[in-house]
Amino acid sequence: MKLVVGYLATAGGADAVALGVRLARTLGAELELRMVLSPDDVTTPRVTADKFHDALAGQGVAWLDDAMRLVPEDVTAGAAVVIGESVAETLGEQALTLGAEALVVGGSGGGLAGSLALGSFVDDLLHSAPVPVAVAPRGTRHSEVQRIQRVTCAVGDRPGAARLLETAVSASRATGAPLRLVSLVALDEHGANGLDAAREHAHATLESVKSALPDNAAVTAVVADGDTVEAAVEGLGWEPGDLLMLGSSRLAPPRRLFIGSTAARILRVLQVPIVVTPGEDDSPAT
Amino acid sequence: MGLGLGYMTPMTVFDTFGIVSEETNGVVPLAYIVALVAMVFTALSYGRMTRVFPSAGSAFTYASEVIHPNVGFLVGWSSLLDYLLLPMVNAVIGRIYFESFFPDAPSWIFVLVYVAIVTALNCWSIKGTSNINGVLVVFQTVLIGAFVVLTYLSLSRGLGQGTALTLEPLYHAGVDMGAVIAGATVVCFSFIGFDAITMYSEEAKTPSTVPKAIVLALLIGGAIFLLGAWFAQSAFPTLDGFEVTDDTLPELALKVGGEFFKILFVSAALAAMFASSLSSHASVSRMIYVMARNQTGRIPRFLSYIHPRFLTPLHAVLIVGAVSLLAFRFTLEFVSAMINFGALIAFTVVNLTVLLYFAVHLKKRNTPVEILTNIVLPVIGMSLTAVLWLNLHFDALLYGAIWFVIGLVLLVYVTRGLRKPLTMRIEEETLSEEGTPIEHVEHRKRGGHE
Repeated sequence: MKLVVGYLATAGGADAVALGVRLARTLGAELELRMVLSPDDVTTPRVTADKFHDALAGQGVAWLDDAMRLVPEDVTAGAAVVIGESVAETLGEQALTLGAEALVVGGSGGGLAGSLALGSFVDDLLHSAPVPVAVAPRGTRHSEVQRIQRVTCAVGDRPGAARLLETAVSASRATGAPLRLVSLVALDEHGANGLDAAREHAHATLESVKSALPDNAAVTAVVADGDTVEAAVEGLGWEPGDLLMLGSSRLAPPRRLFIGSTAARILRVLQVPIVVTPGEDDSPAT
Repeated sequence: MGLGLGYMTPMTVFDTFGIVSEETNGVVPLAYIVALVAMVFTALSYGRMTRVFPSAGSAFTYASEVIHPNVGFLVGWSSLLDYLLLPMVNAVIGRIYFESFFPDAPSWIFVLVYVAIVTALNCWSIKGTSNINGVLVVFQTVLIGAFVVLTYLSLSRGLGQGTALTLEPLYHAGVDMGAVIAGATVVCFSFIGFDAITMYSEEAKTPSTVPKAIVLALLIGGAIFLLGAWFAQSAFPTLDGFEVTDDTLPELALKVGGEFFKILFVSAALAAMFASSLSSHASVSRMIYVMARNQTGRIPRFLSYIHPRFLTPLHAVLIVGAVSLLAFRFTLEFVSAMINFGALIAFTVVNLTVLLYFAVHLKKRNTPVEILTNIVLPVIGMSLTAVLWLNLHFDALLYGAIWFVIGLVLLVYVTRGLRKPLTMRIEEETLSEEGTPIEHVEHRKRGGHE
């Protein structure tokens, strides 16, 4: 099993490596660090003197050397510089070529807007990647957590997130971490009157999802409510070592990732590693 | 072939029109012809050298290989001056446009904002700017066509000479050949860029394509310049009535096409200028980065910094931006002359290398054809570019000489009094196509399981 880590020599890149290490340990996976450089072939009148591209690649290799030092001895890792116009597209291709299970990236490079700002290429990935994308929250690099302890899977109010559940169950199995199914009910979406109905609907959805799972799965189910989706998800109670799994929007093309608006809101507030899974294999028959 | 054209900015013919018209006493087209002739000989020499050194494309390499690395260094050093000034010249042109629209506003604000934007974009990333240039050249050519038509209409209504079918723009009483050559040195500036095509020599399918393409690009560019200059000069035999003579583009457009045409014309010129600013800023900062990277010491270490997220040579970009800020006080005439200083040295040396390589090293000087191509043509080219060079403004020669002496001192220093071989190189561009994996891709494994 392989995990591709999208690396930059920034704090966010170190966060990505840290989460990659954590996931690799839990899953017994190997890491493949990838740094994507764009073709940099600026040419202008008269200025023919430029070996910047090679120099940049050399710098990239040096940076990857540093990154490899962040990977502890017990985790197998490889590293390479790849060239591509679009960072997100190139990382996706790398994941497919290597047969990787997931891509791991840093949530924020520490920009001005802090955890609110996703890097632009992370945002691109979350709208296009062909494999699950794990996003490390800021500061993962300082965390002492060695392994994933619990997998939480957010189930939408519509049934049918087969791929998400499948991934969540297999992640839970592979890691030996218990699975927690969560349905989020937000007051601002349903209003005070609709809240009870929404809550009931959530319970029903969870039960149907749970019943579809194999009996021996260690699964709990929770309905979380709050004034907003953000409040609901924060009110759940999170521990170090948690991992949240979210599905793609219904709008996602088959087998491609396309993050929905709710998931995007969660991603921005929660200081927990989050995995977003691609859409279903085929469009729902409905 | 389009590539060589793509690196020229055709509209500069109207930018420098005022300077040249004043200098030559109203025979701008003649100045273009003189410059074009010199350039054609130089282009022929470039063409020959690209076949000798297909992997490289600059006067610096030719001089290093054919004459001596130390000479190559000095040629590269003089070119560095014009590279450094290229981003600035665009800011100067922009400032003059700005002044033509807002004569009362303090123009240093424009320079500051413009340089800040270009520098910021360069810090961030500059992907894909080089592709835009080609489109902009087409757009500019179309607008020059419109200018010609509008000028024709104005002429038939009695403006200037009243007709374009007169030899007045080429010769009339009071024209002094020395002045024309001085004018030609200024218009050389418009042609700079044709040599960029040599960078593609490695990728050309047949070796003879590049020399032909260089000459053809030059001739087509020359034809566009000549046409524009001819009509402009027919309509405006003198600069009477012009408020700004340092850069006449906005006023020329206004006088033949009215306010709206002026806005359109200046917009096109601005777009070209902006694209040129971005790409020249980018390539100059990258060149500085590469030069610094090969050196040791504190200044080089500072300059060879790459921003980990934007992957741009941040400090070099900022330095080039700081140099560009000087645009608030230099005139277009002075900056273009300084650029020509470095460019004409390079052109002269290219002609010289043809002579040295073919006639001296290879001793190919027996048949009349060999004498013609290996001695006569390069000597003519060399003499013409040298004459142009000697006719540069005194200021340009003075400051250029100071720059050259600094280079000489540096050369003596890095070679420990010319005793050690030169290690400092002004590197060549390597073109890499999009999507091709670079050679440096390394894949290393470590850890427990293997």
